[in-house]
Amino acid sequence: MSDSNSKNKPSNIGRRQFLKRMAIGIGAVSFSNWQLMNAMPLSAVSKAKSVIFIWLAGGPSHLDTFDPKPKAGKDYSGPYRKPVATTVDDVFIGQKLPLLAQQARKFTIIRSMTHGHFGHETASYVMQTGTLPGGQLVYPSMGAVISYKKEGVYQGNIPPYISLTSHSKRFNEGGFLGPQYKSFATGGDPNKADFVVEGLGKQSINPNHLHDKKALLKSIDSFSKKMEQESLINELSIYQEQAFSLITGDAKKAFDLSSESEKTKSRYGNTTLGQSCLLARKLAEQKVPFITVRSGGWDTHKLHFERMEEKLPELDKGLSALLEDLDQRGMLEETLVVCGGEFGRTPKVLWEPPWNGGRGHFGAAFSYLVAGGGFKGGEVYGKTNLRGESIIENPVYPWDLTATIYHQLGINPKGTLPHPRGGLAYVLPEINHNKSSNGILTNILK
Amino acid sequence: MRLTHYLFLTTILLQFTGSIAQKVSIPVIDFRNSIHPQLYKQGCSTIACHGNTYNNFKLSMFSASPMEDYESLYKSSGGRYCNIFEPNKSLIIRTLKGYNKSIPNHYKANTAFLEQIERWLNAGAPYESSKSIKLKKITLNIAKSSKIAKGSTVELVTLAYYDNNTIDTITSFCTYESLNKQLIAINRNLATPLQYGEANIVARYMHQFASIKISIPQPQLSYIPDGKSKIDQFVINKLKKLNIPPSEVCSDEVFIRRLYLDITGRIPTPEQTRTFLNNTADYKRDEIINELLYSEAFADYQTLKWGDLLRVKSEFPSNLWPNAVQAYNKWIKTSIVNNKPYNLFAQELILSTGSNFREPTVNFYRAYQKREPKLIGETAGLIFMGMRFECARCHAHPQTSITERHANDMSLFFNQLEYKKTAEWKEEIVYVNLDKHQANSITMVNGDRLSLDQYQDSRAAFAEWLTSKNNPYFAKVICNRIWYWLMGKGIVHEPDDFRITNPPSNPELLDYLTSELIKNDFDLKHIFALILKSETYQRSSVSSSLNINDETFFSHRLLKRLEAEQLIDAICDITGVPEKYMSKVPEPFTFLPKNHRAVLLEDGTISTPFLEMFGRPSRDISNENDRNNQLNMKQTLHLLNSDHLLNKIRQSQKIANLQRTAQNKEELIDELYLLILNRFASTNEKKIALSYMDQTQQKEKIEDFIWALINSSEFIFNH
Repeated sequence: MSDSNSKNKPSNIGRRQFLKRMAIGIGAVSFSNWQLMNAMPLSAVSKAKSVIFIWLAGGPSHLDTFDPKPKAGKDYSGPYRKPVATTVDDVFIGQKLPLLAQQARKFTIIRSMTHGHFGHETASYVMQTGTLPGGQLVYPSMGAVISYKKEGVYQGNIPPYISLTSHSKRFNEGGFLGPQYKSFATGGDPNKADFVVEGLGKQSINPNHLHDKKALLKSIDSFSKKMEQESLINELSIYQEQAFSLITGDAKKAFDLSSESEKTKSRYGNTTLGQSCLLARKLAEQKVPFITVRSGGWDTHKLHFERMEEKLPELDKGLSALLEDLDQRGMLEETLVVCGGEFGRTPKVLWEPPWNGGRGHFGAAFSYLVAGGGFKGGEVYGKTNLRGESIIENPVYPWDLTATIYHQLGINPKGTLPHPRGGLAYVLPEINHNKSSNGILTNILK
Repeated sequence: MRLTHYLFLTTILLQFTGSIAQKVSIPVIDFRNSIHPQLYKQGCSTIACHGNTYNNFKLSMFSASPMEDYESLYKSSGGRYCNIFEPNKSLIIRTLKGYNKSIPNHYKANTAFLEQIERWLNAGAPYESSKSIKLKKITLNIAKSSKIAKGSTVELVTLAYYDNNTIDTITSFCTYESLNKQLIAINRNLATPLQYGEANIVARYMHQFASIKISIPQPQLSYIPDGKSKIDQFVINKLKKLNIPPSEVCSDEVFIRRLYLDITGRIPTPEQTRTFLNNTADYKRDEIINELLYSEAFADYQTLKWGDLLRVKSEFPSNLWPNAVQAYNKWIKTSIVNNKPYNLFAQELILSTGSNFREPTVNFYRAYQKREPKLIGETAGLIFMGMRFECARCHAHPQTSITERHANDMSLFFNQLEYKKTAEWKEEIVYVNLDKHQANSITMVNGDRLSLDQYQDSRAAFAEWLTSKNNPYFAKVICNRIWYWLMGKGIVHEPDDFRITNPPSNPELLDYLTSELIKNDFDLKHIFALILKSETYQRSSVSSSLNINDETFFSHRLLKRLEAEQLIDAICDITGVPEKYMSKVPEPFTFLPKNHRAVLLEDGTISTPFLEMFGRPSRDISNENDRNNQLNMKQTLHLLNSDHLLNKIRQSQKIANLQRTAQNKEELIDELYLLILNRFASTNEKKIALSYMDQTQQKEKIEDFIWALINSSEFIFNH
């Protein structure tokens, strides 16, 4: 945080080269660190292979998680007036997150996220795509963009964008890239013994039975024989072959939680969120580029604190275990972990009926946690006022965070995507057109 | 030098277009007529180069605005780019000659272009010389000497017609594009037909377009019988011209399955199939078409189609909210049940005002990410005129004469719209603020000029223009859309991309359908019936070696993967095990009754992983291609091995009952074929089935058999 001037220094770039760029006008809007980024070869900065996005659907309270405000009084902090000290000096987080506090050297807290949207649907779209609504185009989510950009780079058999366990219901994840870039949702509940990934099926199958069925399908498909010259019929049989090889192959072992010890499982917590975090680690081991862990129940208009008593320990266990585990396995450098929701919640508690101690939607200021994938650990970036209502230092816009994530994966945030009607679409239009942008979050990158 | 140049031009002209009587002009060089077209042709004004806003030297995208570009190049640069006193010191010359080493992209500048620029600078860099003339139109022709055959080289000649009645050959100044690159390759003005068939070539010059059709008939002569209905005649005329023999008319079994899927969105029940197959009446196909067009299932399925087009959805980006979604759908369905004339349907949408709960049509103006008049104008243009104004929001459309001005003018009709909340949660009033100052007149994209009165609802002028019988787009677009829905391919394809550079594959056919719609007072069912009763619709999907490559002229039925909703509804019908549809976003939560069908889902927000996987439209946009019927591996994985599907088969009470009531295995096999593939099993198929089931574990074997039928291509495709 100390070298806030560094972003204005074109240190990595020769003067001649710089002038050349200015002369042909690439990104000549203003002298921000976008120029700096243009000059850096992306492969050199590409640290992360996988992203694990822990999405707290509904919007978690920033005051009760990563931006506690004990001095604001009971009307703001409710019963949580004793933030917990972390392993980093002078950094405190919510008192219900003691395990996470032990991992503070591994993550950075952004306390100055802001977009100003207060509706779930628009805020979810903004946070997961890094773009603002407007125009005809609906943008793809980060996972879809990354799957698209990593085509050919990622060689695994497992689909490149996995949702644990359901896809987003608020908006269309594939956006204008199309449904083939939507996430593959596993379905089921990893916290249950009979957890099965939809389509991949049980870990143990009877190969003889499958073989018989396959032969039967071949022998009765008379239409395919009649139509074998048709390209669509060929396509179908190729996809069926691919699917059969996934069903019988090794790839699905990545989803097999029974191979994990009981100790590991309970360290992550015997909850859907905890076991999803464990599954996410297993998928990251297979270099799956984007894994979303979707946790619901954070939209606490009523009885907020009663609900937090349940939700926060789940998050505390699952996320802290994930960070610790990734670190111990030496995977944290190449696995980027992000945690947050569509917005924060109103700092002031609504004690009156019908809310009875609830918190509303709050898009003006909220927190995000980032770890690994080249992010620094042990930092706090940005600052809100005494009551967590507004940002007083280093605002971070959704597209700044998205751009940084793309950048860490070696994807040029100023690059383009195929426009569905043949035109040109930017990966992140806001960093080109929006004045509210602070660029790549270089201050919290290693 | 100038003289030589034009002498050269004249020679070309005489050589290739000798028969066209004309005067050849010697235009004076200026920016508007000489330099500007070159900036486009050389690719200067693309997004990668100077079309980009971020470029220091900015040109209008695709060279749509000559005046702006002139200012940018000549005036605003303070003489740096263009020095008329010492042309060689001009930055533009230095750059094109490669003296400016920091700009490597220009090293290979075309010398003819360079010479032209030099001459222009020497002439004082005029914008438009007083003697210069205005371009009226361009035409694209084939040089007389060219032989049109597969593998030959066809020389194209482009002529410019000016307003002083002079004609000029501009062949080398245009850009050319083949609209079907597999069929015709293009290199400068030389076209090479690679395959038999027909495709268009487009020339572009100064934001004017001209196209020409090149047809290469197949050499094998086939006997092609005459068409029966009018539609068939137009289709057969084209097929005869290209020597493409059509496929046979399909069997009753194929027809009944296809018809039910296309008209009602569902496969026929065994009873429906039996009744039809047993019917011996001569006109039984026409009868069932008439019956189904007036069924409730037709209205339901059409409501789904219009829900897609109007983006009916509670959540992002339409954000209509559940109450309004219900009201809107009810209006759509009632309109279809009553067969509301299409002009009235459009008028009611366009002229709507009031509460989103009480006046359902106002949701037409609410279903946007941002309620900007521009977006509304674009969407109205897309849905009712089949035109993509979207590109022109920021820059001239690269392939049509639509410019930013047209896109902007479309928005002017919707400038008076305003929205206000009421005390009721999520209720909203859409109203027209008549005090808002209006433009006096608006020029439409086809050149029609509409005058607007102050203090009047300007949408009325648009609605009147749009829905008039003379409108060049309105009726044509919906006829083509219906054709696309039924045939899987538009006469203009894609069906929402009408533009001069995307001409209809069979213009006479489209004109005929359009005239039928207008003659019958915008009765859409009439068009449905005309198409469905034609042999063209009823052709088999089984192709021959002579028509397998045709995907454009309707010589055989094109395969369509069952749509997401059709597929899951069919699986639920076969097994009798329904899906659960509900949505916890947004509030109030929606729970639908147990036997709800996917085709009846009125809210784009209510979805299932299955529907998402099989490409149900996101309802983010109104384009037809928002519905994605492409296959992918995730889909086959799901059909082959998901518990979702396998459990439906395992738990099916309906199939257990069939097993119980069937007299013998052969009867059971027939019932299963009827249930799943809508036909009886062949002898050979029965043999295969019997040998598979004639072992132990009867229940499991029958389940496997059903699984195999569901995974067969005959089931997965609407054929």
